[in-house]
Amino acid sequence: MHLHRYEKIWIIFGTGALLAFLIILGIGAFYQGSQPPSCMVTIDPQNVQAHEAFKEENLGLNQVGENEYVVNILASAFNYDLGKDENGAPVKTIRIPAGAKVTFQATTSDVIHGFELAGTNVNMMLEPGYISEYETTMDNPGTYTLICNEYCGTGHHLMYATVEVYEE
Amino acid sequence: MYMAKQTGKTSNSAHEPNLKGTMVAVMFVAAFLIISWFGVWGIFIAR
Repeated sequence: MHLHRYEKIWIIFGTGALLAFLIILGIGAFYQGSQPPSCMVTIDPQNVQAHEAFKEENLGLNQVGENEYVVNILASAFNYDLGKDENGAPVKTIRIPAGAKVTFQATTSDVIHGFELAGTNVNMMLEPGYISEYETTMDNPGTYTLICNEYCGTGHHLMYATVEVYEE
Repeated sequence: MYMAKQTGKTSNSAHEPNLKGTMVAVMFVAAFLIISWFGVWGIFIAR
């Protein structure tokens, strides 16, 4: 088969790009251990409290190391449950020091919800029956809004919380 | 191909079509892909 010289150039470029993307994907998945936020970890959506992380007292911000935090969030229409403060009022804002390693662990007890910390790479889908997890380092101080980006019903737009990353 | 059939000749370099413009267009697409890929990657790394 005869091919024009230019055709050979762009076929090589196209094939090369495909190979480059597949190799990057392979390194990410098999060497660096990247995985989707919801990766086969299941939970009973009717009884999420049975899971240690989603017990009433464990919801919200938990410090697990010197500069390491775990945030447990239970989403439901139309609220992110981040636990209660000392006065028994629901927590709507959590504060994390800049540079801390944070693991967001979330699930939903009803329908599919979104979990996007706008302006950061934290963005995942919460599906009933699965636990979604995202580990990140909050390097940039600022106020970030946690929003639901999967339409979940009439109160969808009321579903948000705030994460403040402060400089120590 | 139509021309080659008509004259009864098989295609050879003398009758090769001029693909210079196509080459330039393809390279524009390539540049767009590369720039946007690195742009998105930069955003991912920065935040």
